[in-house]
Amino acid sequence: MKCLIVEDDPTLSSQLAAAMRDGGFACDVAADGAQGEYLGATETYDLAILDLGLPGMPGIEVLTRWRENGVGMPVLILTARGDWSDKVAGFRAGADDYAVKPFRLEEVVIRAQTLVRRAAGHAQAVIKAGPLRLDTQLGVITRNGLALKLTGFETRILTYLIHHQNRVVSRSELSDHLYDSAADRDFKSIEVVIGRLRKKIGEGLIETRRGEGYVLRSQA
Amino acid sequence: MILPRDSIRARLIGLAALLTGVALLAGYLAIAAILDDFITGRFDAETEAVADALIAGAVIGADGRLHAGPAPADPRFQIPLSGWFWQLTQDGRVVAKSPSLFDNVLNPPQADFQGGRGIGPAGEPLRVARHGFTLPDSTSVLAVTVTAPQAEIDAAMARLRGPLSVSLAVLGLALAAASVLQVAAGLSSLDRLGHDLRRIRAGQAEALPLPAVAELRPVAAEINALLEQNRVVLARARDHVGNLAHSLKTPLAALDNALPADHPGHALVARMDRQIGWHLRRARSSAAPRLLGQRMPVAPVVQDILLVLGGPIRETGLQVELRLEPDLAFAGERQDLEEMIGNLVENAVKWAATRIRISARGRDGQLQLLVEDDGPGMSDQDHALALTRGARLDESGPPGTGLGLAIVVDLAGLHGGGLALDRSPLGGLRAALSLPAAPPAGTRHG
Repeated sequence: MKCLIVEDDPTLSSQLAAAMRDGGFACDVAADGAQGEYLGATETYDLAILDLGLPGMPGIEVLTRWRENGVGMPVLILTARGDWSDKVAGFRAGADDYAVKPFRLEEVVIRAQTLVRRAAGHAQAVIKAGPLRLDTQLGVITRNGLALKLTGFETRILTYLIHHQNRVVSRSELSDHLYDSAADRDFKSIEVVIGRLRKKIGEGLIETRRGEGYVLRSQA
Repeated sequence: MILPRDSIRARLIGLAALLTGVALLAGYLAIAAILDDFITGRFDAETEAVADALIAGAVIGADGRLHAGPAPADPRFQIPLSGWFWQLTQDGRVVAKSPSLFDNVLNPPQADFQGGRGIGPAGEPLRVARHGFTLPDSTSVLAVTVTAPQAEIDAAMARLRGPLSVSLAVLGLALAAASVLQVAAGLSSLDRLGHDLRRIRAGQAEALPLPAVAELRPVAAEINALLEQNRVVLARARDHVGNLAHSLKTPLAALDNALPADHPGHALVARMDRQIGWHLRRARSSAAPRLLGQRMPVAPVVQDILLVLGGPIRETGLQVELRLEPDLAFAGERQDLEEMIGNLVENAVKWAATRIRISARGRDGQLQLLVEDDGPGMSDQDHALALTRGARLDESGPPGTGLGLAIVVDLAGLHGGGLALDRSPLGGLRAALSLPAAPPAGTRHG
């Protein structure tokens, strides 16, 4: 899962990025409205966390432009004022959820995970895929009730595949949602990690479609 | 109609009455003087004619004495002491006189004069004409004097003055009525302006319509500009407040998250956050009720709030029942209405088990808004406690600021309304918010 954080306060921004990475997200960070608007419109994200009080371009305007340009990712707005007119303005511009400053980071991460899950069409907090269970709020994946021991990168790949189970996920799509923009993208390492995942979760769940990508089968 | 002395109407009417009165009085005096001259002139002409006839008839006899010709035929000269007298004198001696003089003589001044005043035998005032003349074959100083009674002249004048003063008085009353009408017509546009201003204060209009009279248009334009400026200043103050909130709360969020989980500083951060929120809201809202001409329909605000809360409502599968009377409006600002409804509905969504109900109705200029849920509700004791500022009854509930109800109480109070809590027929809490209603949209320009 990849998210965009648009927040001008450097401390809060790095705190958010750290918390989101812990929650299984790859993060890009923008410090002003114009940069955030550009990144959101050009890169692929599963979620954006957008502060409304930004220098350069107000958050509402960033959001409006995204929506006008057909950028459909879920957006969580951060508002300092916390009054309802701010929230209403945000939702009218196309926001999906809000957090009022000061907020607890865990709460923002949970809301972010919920938004991503809902955007992928899953109503429940726990997503099933065959013997696998993803608790989106805890970020824990179990197989037949037993927690899997996975690395952060493995968790991210498997989480994405579980969200988008039963359809082909290309390697470039996977890399779009796994790496932040600064990271080197490496298809080889994705293949290696997929290989390791097959061993941990059991053969047959992840199929490789040559030249297309991977499919996580909910019915093995 | 009793007018205060400092009213424009009283002043204009008073001034008109004063000027009309002075003009009428002057007119009366002028017309009376002209009539006086005219009547006196008529009498003078009569006496003059008699004098001319007497001079023409006078002859000097062989004895050198003056003899009067035929006496004037006018019977008034026969009536004793009628005031109509004539006499002829030769060298100061009376040689002939009217029978009306009886045994008296007139003592006019020696010089010639016409239209003078004299005193009659009985002491009565007389109008006198006297002419000296000479006749051929005589060196005597001859004079003729003819008089008319001043009383008759005065009586004729008096007969005219009565109708004159009555007709001028009627004219004066007509003019006074006209000036009252004129002032009323002139001031009706001012009354209209005042009426329109009251409508703005009552929230039925946002700006003054352009007056029909040219003189008031600049005034209306200035007032409208002032109202607009008022709005702009308030909007700017709001922006400042928003910026202040942002600049304080962002570092506060960073600070909160930098503290270890069990650090007592979290409580302090929460307190600071509440304090900032309360004071900022206060600063923002205290200006709002003074802003004129506000009218905010209820239904769109409820829809907006449900849009914001759509996520949690869908997530928990809550049923939302709306019972909104059509065309209800709040006499105040959008932000305040959003804040109140938002907090109440958020609270209901937070506690409801399966459903919430939002109803609104208008009653006697008041807007009655009910937000109900089927959650656990509160005890009567908690109802009272929940309405006090800062009370946190939802410590055990889902995350929230806990100030929601207190904010609503605060804002409703600023608008002259109130919040009451009791148990809903649905089983949970019923929050009843009453606020000043704005009149229906149909009467806006009526």
